[in-house]
Amino acid sequence: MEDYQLGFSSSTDNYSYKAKKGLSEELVKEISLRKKEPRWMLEIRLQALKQYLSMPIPDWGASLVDLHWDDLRYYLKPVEKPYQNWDEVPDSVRKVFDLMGVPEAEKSMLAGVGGQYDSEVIYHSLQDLLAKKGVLFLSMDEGLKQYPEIVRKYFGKIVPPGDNKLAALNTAVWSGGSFVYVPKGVRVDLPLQAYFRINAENAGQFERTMIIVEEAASAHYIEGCSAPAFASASLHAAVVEVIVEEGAKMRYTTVQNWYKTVYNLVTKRAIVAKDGVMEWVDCNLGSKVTMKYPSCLLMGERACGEMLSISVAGAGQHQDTGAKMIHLAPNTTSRIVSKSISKNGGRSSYRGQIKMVRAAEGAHSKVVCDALILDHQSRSDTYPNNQILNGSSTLEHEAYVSRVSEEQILYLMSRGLTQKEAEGIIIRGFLEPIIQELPMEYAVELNRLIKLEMVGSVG
Amino acid sequence: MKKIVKKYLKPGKWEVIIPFDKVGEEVEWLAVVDGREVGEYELTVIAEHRVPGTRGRITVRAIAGPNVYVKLKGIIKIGKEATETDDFLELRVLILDKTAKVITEPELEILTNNVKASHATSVGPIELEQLLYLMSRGLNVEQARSQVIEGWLGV
Repeated sequence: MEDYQLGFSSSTDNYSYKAKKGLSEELVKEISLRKKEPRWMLEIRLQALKQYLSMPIPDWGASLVDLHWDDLRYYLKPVEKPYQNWDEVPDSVRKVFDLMGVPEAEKSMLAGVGGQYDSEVIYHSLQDLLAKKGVLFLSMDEGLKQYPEIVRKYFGKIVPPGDNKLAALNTAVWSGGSFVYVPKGVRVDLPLQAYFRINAENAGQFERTMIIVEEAASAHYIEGCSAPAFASASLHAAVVEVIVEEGAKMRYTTVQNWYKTVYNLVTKRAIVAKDGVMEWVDCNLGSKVTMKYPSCLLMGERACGEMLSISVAGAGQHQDTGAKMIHLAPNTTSRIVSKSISKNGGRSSYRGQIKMVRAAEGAHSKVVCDALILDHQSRSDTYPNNQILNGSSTLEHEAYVSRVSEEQILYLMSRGLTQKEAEGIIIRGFLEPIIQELPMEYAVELNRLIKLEMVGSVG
Repeated sequence: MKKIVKKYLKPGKWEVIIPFDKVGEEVEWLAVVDGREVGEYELTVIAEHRVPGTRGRITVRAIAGPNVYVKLKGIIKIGKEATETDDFLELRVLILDKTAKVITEPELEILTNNVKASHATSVGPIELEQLLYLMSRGLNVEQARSQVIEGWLGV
């Protein structure tokens, strides 16, 4: 992929710890020991490992046959501890983040930044003002060290280890990720950003993120992902647990641009209390295979869940994404807008579920899936499942698959654009409703990435 | 356009494949599932587009009364050869009682470009506005409800 601009890597020789290939009970104990974790966490890890080994590899979605589980390194520790100042970060690591522009962005537009490099978070900072208000933005490892009661209260409660095979794997070998806590009534206006980077070959990255937004508080968390251009497969299997308390609002934005050998198998789930709002904004451009279905459990009255997603599947890629909205209380609402583009033989699938239980009277949900197919080799699927188990809820679902319409292209060409320019404009217009939800800098970056993706693919 | 109407009035399980084998074939297919009798109703409709230039309009309208389970699954499959397909699938369910359970699964599997395929599904109770309108014309609630249901099923 000559268009992938984040394909550089740095040597792994100076890593402070590199696990052998493969997964074992010893490795899980080793990780826990090195992290000096409490006993209960090790027990959770070992229990999860047993569950992982007993569960079959999921066969209902994208194909995982090319992923060689035994060839992966499950734990790679580049540095001893997270730094709070970019100047202290070792050159080899900092160079990579500099190239991606992370420190630059921090100065101008972010409330806090975290950077994860293979298994460990290497850098973390938060604006002083927010820290004084009691906002916590730490690596998950630090969160566990400093606030073990909070972590213990929620860890594995929203995504239980046995939820699926990848969640079990993550629970067994998790390392890094973000721990965010926003106290009652505090509004964090600027986004908190985490950047996840896989640097080593055959690496497995298993970050674990926990976000707690207390009553009437609000926050926006953004994550970006990239990896070097290696030929062999890497695995990214994250678990994200979000707790939105009464009247709180949380937005979680992902811009995923893994290199096209990465398997991105992620479990993301939020529980939303009365009058709370949870919004997922999910942009999937990279990776070989992505299987990701962020969900909202709408537990309290009038809770609201929203999902906005973009996926672009190019040659050799399968983006199997979607959302789940589980309505458990009266008058809850949800909205899903999913837009996908398949090109150069890529395949994008929407897989979603809306469930409205008996108690969810008066619930309302609207799902819109739009797909564009740009050529004859590509494929697009839609697999929704809608369950309405009470008599007063309403659900609307619509999906539309098409190619770029000739009329639109002709119109633009009549105004003096070339065919390629015209197609580019139509594609950007197709994605615009979601891109405009991103902070400006991200919107610019995403537009640029999509433009790169589209080079030579339309027309 | 060739029009086919099917009625499913008793509980049961059905699978219907609508093949599009002739170039340029056009089919309008309408099914009515009258789920007022207690039981389980499961209807799967598969529109298989195998050749170029076919056009389909697939509609399922169902009602779900007390203690009724309705599951509607509709798939539009567009094969590699079936360019210039145009298909629209609708699954519409009117819920008459809170003890009803409804599942809809509208799926699309599309292996080529230069096609138009869309689906829509909606599930919900009878709109109060419609009842109020009919009642303002002198019907009682029961009469108004049965008018709406009859209109919905088109019988």
